[in-house]
Amino acid sequence: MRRRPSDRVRAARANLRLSAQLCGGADINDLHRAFNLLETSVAEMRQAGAEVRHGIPDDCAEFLREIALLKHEIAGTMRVVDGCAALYRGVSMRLGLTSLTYAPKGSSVAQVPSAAACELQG
Amino acid sequence: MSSLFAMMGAAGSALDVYQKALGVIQNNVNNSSTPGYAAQSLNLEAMPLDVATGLAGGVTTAGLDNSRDPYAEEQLQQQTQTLGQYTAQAQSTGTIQSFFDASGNSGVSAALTALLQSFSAWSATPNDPTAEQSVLASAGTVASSIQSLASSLSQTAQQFDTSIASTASQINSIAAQIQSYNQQRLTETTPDPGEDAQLYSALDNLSQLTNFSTVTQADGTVTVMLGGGSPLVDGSQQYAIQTASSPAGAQILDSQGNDITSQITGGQLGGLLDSTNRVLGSMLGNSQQTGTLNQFAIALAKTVNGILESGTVSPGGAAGTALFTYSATPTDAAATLAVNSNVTLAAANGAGSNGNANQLAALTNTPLAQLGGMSLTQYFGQITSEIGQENQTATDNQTSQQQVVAQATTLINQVSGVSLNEEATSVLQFQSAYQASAQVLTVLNTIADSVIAMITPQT
Repeated sequence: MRRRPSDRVRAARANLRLSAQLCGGADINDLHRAFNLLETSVAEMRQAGAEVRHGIPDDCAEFLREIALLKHEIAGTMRVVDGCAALYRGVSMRLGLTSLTYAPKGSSVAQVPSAAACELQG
Repeated sequence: MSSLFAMMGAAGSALDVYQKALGVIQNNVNNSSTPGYAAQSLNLEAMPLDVATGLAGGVTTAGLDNSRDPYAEEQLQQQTQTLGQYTAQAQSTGTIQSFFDASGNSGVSAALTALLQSFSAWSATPNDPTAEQSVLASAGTVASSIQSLASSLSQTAQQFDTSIASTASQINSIAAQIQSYNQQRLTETTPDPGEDAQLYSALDNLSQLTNFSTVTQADGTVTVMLGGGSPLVDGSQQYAIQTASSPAGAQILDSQGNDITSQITGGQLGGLLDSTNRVLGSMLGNSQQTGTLNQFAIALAKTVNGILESGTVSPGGAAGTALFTYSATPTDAAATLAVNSNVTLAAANGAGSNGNANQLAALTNTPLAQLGGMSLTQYFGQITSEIGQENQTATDNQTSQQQVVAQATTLINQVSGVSLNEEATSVLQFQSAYQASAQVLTVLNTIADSVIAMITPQT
């Protein structure tokens, strides 16, 4: 059965909501899954936009309502993500960290100041 | 709107969780060099998600986990106890060994050789007053050397006693710290990482001083028992140990005054007790043994005196007298050995005018029954050799034990220690992931706006 644009927006919102759930856990793997869900939401919305370009959806009011709900969800999730990003940015600045590099085996490593420097900064 | 409020609630909860998670990471980094600190991690639990009933999901904290491995900690403590013992033994036997000259060029060995040589010279010229004076001078040197050695060893024993008392005092001080931790722990539902670090640091310090075992009780307090099971700390109660002296040597008493010396076999205290009671005791003697140095002094004095008293002075035929005097108390023989100021040296006996002097000169190679069939020279050489072997064994043990402790420490650091690399990588990975997510959200918002813009002008 062919999916309508409003179905795609609803799917994007569901993915966004699930992503927001995963963002809440301090687990880097969950965060990667949350990122993938956000990209899926973007793909759904791109597809919905392409379909709208070909013609106004029949359920235009429902479609607009879904988009309004989606924007609310985006605003809420954005607050969580921005807040968490700011916290980590603050901690990394406080610890004097600069950037991630990658070890030969592919694992990420960081430039770390000495323990003594950490204590001074802490 | 309810969905928005629920979302805002979840967002607030998530921020709270993140602040705690970041606090844990920063605490780990700041304490990466704190003795006894074990890396902490925050446990998270998912909250129920049900849009229909307004449950917004999200996460909440579910307590802290620390990475401490009790088995690895116990291993390190046991190995450190053994290292403390070997280190104390190596140091104390090194001190004792410094009073003995293994080369034989000085001290008692050299004096004994000179005395035996003077006997030999006297036997060649038994009526020469110079040879007699040489015997008396050499005998005086031997007696003062043995006295000096006994005095040095006695002073060392007193120093060891002082060290034992000081170590016992340190043990009581650490026990007081553990007791204080237990009292604090009884007022808390979950252990504080900082106090936990202090406890394990205190236990590490204690393991350098004595052998003990620990039991963590259901209420979180730690019971510390000395080697044989005598309690040192139990809950909020401390049982201080004391030191005492007895004829058998240094003693450790529990808080009730019971002798628990035999239970202290490890750590610095165990090593000091071993050096004092076994090594020094075997030389200086105690209530259970005469002591090798006293046996040597008695054998020397008795043998020389016996030969001289059985001879006569030629010409004239007057009976000879004893060359050496010493205390009737066997354990004081070495400390009191001296030359008889009224000695009459008798060189003659039934075998001739120098028969007695010849017998004394032959002592160099004469096996003596009271020394287990060894000559005087051999016996003192054995005393010197034994203390040398004690020191060598303790030093070898110390060296190998240092390797074992280094390995155990590495194991602990791998299991419980804070890896700055891991913590830093974790922080930066989270930071990058959130920044990327924020960009995707911005894209999503822009697409939503553009879709609305596509429809709105047409409706």
